[in-house]
Amino acid sequence: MSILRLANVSYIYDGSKKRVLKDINVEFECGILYGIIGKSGAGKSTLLSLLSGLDKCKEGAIIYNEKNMNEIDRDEYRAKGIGVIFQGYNLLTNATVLDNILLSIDISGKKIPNKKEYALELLEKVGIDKEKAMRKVLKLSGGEQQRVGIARALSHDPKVIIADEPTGNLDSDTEANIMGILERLAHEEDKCVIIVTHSKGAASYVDELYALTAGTLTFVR
Amino acid sequence: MYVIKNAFKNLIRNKNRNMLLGIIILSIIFTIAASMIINKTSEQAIRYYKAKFGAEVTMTNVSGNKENQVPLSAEKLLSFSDSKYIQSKIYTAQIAVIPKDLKVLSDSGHQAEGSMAAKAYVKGSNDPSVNDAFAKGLKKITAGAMYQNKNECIISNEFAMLNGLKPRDTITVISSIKDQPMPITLRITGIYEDKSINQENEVSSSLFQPLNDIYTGFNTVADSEIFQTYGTLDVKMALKDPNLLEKFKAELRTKGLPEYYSVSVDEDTYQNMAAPIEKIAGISNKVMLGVFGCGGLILLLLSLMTVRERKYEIGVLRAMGMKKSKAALGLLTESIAIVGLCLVMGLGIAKTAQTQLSKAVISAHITEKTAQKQIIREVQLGFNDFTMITLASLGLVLLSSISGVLFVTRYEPSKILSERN
Repeated sequence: MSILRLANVSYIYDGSKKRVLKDINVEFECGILYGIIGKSGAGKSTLLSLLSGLDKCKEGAIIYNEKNMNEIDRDEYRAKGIGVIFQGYNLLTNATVLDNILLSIDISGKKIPNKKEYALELLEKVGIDKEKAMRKVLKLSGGEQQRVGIARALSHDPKVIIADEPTGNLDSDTEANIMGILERLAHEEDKCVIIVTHSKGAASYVDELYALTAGTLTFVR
Repeated sequence: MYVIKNAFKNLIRNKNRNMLLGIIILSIIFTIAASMIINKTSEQAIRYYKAKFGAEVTMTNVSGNKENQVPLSAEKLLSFSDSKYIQSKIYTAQIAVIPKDLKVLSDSGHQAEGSMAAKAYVKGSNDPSVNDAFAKGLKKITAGAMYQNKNECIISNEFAMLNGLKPRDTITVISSIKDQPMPITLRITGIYEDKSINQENEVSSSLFQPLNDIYTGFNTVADSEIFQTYGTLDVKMALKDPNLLEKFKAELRTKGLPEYYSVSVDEDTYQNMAAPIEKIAGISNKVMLGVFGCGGLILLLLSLMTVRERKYEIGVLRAMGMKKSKAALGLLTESIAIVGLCLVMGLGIAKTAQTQLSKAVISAHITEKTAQKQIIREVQLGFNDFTMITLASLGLVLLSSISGVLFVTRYEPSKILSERN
């Protein structure tokens, strides 16, 4: 059964006549690593905004857990329902790595007895040790920051993980590393992982691949 | 609550920015508190001047007409002084008398046949210090005490020695009208020494010899038959404020002061004293407004300049699912914490510096140490002052957090983050 479903979703930006997304129909299930590939200007960012609840779809419906997203609190959806990994990491740069994770847990409202230990274990899983966890975010490399982004997205144990160009700024070794983590999340932790990317290398890891071309989504493999 | 906790953590994370904000806010709060202290000190100093000097009223007969040369009656003078515009009034009733069976100083011994020349004055005043001489220490009680009750009096040391008088003795004075003695019996309560008089100076008559003056209470003289017959009344009045002169003048005219009497105050003396202090208060107010205005503007600009950093932070928090209200609360909490800390520090510094500030305002104008101490003691920042400073601080909270709060409420996180990325 799908956890996230798009039904006839279209999107036009305010003040524009051009449809950025056209009549998209797709279902996403848990336990699968999805990839959405497309060139610049294909509408990937827009699709990502809609999937991650940062924006509202103008036409059609996005159904999460059998509930129309237009009818649920999108702040709560972002806090509890999904975990988003951003291309530019979007971490709180003046805070430590650990504080970024702890804040995400607080925002989600998830009650965890030993929050700090839980956060450190999570960071360990993505390859960030305790010493690095105490550093300010800007003291880490790009790859390390991306891992922190992944840990943050996982902090409240969401069912759906959405990753925007998760390997966009990284070298091939680090890319492989990150994709490995995402694969494990889908296959071993039964999460629905959706990556949006223009990288063929990243796309080669996914179980199901879709192509977004001029606002239209088509299944590739 | 995690929002508050995160807000306090943010204060330390953004140390440099918050220190700069803190310095500006602290300066504003201290300046406001200091201005209030200066204003209060000025008010107290002016109150002191008014109490000390008032604005003495002078009524002068400017008519050249002989018919208008009749002095104002005691009744009229007393009614004039009964006014809401008057701060202080000193009545001195005076009668020229003959001390019965007593000698007087500087007695020439001459007396025209059939007449009785008055040899001394009995002066009755409602002011216990009688005249400035007692207040300034030029006259001093050396034995006994000042009169308290009716028909009590004090006499000079020389007069007492001349007549072998001491406290508790009684003397009788009579009028200078033949066959109408109208005696007044007075009990001596005290002997005074008059340092202001040079005894070597010759006087033409015993009546003008100040050491013969007998001082008593105002009612003792004013109620006497002698006063009713030929006594004189001097009324010294001081207005609460020289600016009340016109109103007081109008009141005097309705009470019957003739038009040929001019009424004036010695405004120059008062203004010379009070004007510099009033000027300091005025300058202080301008400085306070200037600092508040400029400081507020700098805060607003600083808030707008740091908007990029705050915008991104807000975008991330909102993207993580934090509600608008909580994000705004976090920003406000940061501002309130900074302003709160500055409020405590600013008021603490102002309170510590209060005495020095007050001294700096008044020391050049009021040299008497007791007066300075009295004024400084009266200067206290009260509840209303703290309320005003707190309200001003809340204004500063708003200025320092406005840009962040606007972004939280106006923009969606996708827009904020897309601009950054």
